[in-house]
Amino acid sequence: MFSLEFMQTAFIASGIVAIICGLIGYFLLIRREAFAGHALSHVGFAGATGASLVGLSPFLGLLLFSLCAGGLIGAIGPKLKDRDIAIGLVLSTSMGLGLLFLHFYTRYASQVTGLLFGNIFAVNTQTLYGLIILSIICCIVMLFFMRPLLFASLQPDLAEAKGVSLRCVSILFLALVACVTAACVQVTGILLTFSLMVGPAAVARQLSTTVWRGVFLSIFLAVAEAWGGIIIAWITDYPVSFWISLLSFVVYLVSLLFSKNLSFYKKIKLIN
Amino acid sequence: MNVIECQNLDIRLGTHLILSRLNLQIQENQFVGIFGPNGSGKTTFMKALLGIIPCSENKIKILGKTPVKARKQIGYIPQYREMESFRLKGKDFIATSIHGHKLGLPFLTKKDLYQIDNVLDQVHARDLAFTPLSEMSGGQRQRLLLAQALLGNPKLIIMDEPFSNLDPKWVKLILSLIKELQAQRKLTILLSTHDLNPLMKIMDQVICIGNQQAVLGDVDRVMTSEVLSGLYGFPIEVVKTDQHLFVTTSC
Repeated sequence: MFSLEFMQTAFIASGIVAIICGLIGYFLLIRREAFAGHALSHVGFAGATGASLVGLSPFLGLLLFSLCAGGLIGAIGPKLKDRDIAIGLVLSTSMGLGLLFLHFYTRYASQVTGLLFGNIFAVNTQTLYGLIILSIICCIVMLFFMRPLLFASLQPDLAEAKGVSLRCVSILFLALVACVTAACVQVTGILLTFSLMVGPAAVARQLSTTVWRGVFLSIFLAVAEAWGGIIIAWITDYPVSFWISLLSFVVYLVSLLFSKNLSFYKKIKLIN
Repeated sequence: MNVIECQNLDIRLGTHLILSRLNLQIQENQFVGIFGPNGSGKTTFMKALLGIIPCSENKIKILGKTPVKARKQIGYIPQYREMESFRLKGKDFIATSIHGHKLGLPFLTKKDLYQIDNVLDQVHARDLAFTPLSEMSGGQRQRLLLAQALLGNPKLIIMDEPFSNLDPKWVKLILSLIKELQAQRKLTILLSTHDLNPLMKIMDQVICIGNQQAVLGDVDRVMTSEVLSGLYGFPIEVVKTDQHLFVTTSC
């Protein structure tokens, strides 16, 4: 399995994507913006199909559309009432727009399936380099941005009083989410980005009591689920995205049971 | 020395005028309660003092500086925010505010850790350092936030409705803690509330906000039927007993 070139590429690509998914996903949950992250991937669908229609790379179209939408949602600001409704409407309109582009561009149905459900085995060297560059950019930005992001995410009112611009943090963070979403689509597809971005991060948030442990656990789980998905897909010949989403769901369920047992045990200990 | 000084201050949210021609001075080591109905502008006034809401230049002075320049010397406890879903330990939670406005990774130095232990000791909450937020009661969380507000040795602490989610037992405990800290560190405390009664024995002055106006003074002078009726523009009756104050509309 590991001697095949496309498999090596799949492991490298999914590993890189999983690292940034785990990292950004953790903050996405702390900021309670999981829905915004989900919406960005759907907006990207319109971008990808639109780019294909005019002869550009779908990855580029997806990245540009997601970035614009991320910036826009961030600029609207977290305090706007009914933001979820606005995001939901943008999400469904984007899917509709994507469908319209598909109506005009019917040549490559397999490419569309790949966009919707991912096709990690089809990642070529050019896309791999794109993923590496995107991941390096995300990590460098986080290197400088993590402290104010954490402060503004956990205590926005206090952060604002200490001079942190909530709007700037929101725009920059959602731009990062857009980049990670575009990368994640290569592995899980548009419809299943949630499984790699939110699943591992939800487990990490549930089980860890420090920020660093949470971040590393989220990254570790994302990589384990991505690679686990590829290995099981190789053995069973079922789609990778299915296994990744299933693994993500099972791990989340186990963590739920574990954390409930943990709190129950603590209560018993407290009573005794 | 004046800790807070407002001169002819107008506070607006967009085009909406919240407070008009506000003039007040608050001396150091004072405990000031801010009282007013919902939507009267208590939080907006506090946000103006913190420099979050921009006001005309030099109309607000905090410790002789503009609010933005005085940020380091102000401790702030914002209104209640849901924290039950976070499993972060108390120590890690308040650590996020240390240098939180600076770029970089959230690493802490030994000096930072010593500072955190020190403020937790001051609010008698060392045990909360390793307790996850999700397992803390409302009162414990408030104690943790009070410890956080002490980071950086502020001269002024602003608290926005700190008792809104607490039962009377915790209100009493937190208040005695605030009073103890005020005496030890010569702090000026500004605390907004719906119910002034728990503060009656503690506060030195009260600011009453309503109808785009604010009145500052001793409780006995401000919390009267005449002053409040004049402030709100309709008849208000204030009934005082030994330790309690009842504010009702006369109509």
